[in-house]
Amino acid sequence: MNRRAHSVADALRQRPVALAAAVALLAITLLCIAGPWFVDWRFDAIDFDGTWSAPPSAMHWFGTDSLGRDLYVRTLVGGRISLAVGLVGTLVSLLIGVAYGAVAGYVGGRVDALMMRAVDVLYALPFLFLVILLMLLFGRHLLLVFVAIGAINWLDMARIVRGETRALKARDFVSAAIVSGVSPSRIVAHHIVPNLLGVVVVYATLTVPQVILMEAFLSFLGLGVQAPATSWGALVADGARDMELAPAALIFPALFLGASLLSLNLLGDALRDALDPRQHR
Amino acid sequence: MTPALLRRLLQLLPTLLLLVTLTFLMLHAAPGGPFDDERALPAATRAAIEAQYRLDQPLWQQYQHYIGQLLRGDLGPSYQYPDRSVADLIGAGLPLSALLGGLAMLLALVCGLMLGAMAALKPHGARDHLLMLFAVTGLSIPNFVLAPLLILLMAVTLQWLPAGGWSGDPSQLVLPVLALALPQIATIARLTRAALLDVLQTPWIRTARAKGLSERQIIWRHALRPVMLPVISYLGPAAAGTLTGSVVIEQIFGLPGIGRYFVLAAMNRDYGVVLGVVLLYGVLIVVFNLLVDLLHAALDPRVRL
Repeated sequence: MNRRAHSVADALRQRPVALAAAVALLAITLLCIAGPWFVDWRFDAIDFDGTWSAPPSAMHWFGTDSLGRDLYVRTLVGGRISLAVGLVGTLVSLLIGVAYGAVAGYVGGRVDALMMRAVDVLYALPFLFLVILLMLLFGRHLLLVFVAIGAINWLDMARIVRGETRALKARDFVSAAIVSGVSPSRIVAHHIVPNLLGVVVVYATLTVPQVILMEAFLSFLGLGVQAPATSWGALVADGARDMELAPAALIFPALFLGASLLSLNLLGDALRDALDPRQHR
Repeated sequence: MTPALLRRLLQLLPTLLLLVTLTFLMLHAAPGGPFDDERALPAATRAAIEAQYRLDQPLWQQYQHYIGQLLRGDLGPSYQYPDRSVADLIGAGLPLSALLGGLAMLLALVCGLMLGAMAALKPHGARDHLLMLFAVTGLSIPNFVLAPLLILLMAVTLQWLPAGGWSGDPSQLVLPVLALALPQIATIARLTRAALLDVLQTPWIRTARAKGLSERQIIWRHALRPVMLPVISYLGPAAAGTLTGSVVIEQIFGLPGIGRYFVLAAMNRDYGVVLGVVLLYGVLIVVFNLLVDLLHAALDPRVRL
């Protein structure tokens, strides 16, 4: 693990773009957490003295939205939700994907064939439609967003983990564990999964932006978070509605969303180049 | 038809059946029905309507009936527009959606290949870095963010292009196609660059260089085919992404395609239309994936179906 941490640091040092991305990401995260503390506005408070859809000013740094709420605070508070959904959604898909892939890869044979065939069938489903449908039909619930997003994204993870597990299973230390009578579930938990961490971390980094994107997509359709709570996707949707009057309401959330996704993608690419031996250049 | 192809076609059926079943169950499990109107219908009228659409029957009978109907190639009636069938409604929206999606895919393929090749021919230079930064940026800006930004820039501020609507004027399609294509352009450019870099290091390219072929001949006659392989495999997911994206893009630009019907129909609990559209998308995606595999097999002699 130490060596791995070392190579992550090396990877970042050798790639100034990735380092900049990491710094930007950290800055955005800290700003989202701490930024709202330093202004007097709350994300759902209406400024009755100011104008609605106001341009940026000393009073409202990003302007106000069509209801007269401070956009600086709303953008940052929305960012908390977007980033949190990204992390939790990734975690859900990670747990399902690693467990499924490790079991399929370790057990092998018919079970493996059946499990991966099921993944193939699920892959072919237009999942986003089912999610849209789910939201349209059952109303909007943040928990449902998590579950739906996590349930889609585990497929990739399961495939990657299965491949890695099959390679690991052929290694001597696994044979040694089998010979010394360690139970299969213990081998998977103690010998296979810890060795998968490198690959899993890399693909998790690339999953986070996908999840954030998906949440933004759903919120944009009005199917994700519900007012007065907000996320970047919901803010972009609001901003798009009256962009002719107040372009700031579209541009600031779009900027935050785009910058976060860009940083995460750049970081994930760099980590993959550095840590995943199969993706050498 | 070869046995391999037939087998592949048969393998599509469980996926589609699963899709229809899931959608069917979701629709019927959801609260509200197609005839829950704000003004209450007299009980007898309502019962008569529900009986006509078989909503009074047990769920499994409705399911059986629907599957039977599908097997006869009938998508059934719309629940909201009594005089129109689902096939009618889909037929009305499909040409525009197909035009939008087809143009976007074509643009993505052409631009993606070109930009990727431009980056790979002088790797690690300024042009390469700039193009790849552009590609990651393109990947990172979702099309529903790009679309309003494009409208803001091109329609509201510069007033070069119309902001939306559809009256048959091609200029109304420029922005939607662009918004839909950009993420795909970025992905295809990245794939092309990586594949071309790999291929240019192979012995057969070195041989071609040693023979004294021009760079143009090397690219077009020797490098292009292997480079196309990963790009072609990506076309399946790209088609799925374009279809999904078109739901939002049609909303934003006010285009009367099937994406808009889909959202409206789900809101109105129009079971027939929702199932029909989901099935159509499902069929399009699996058939497209199959075509991609066929093309792959045709281009790469090592691959078999």
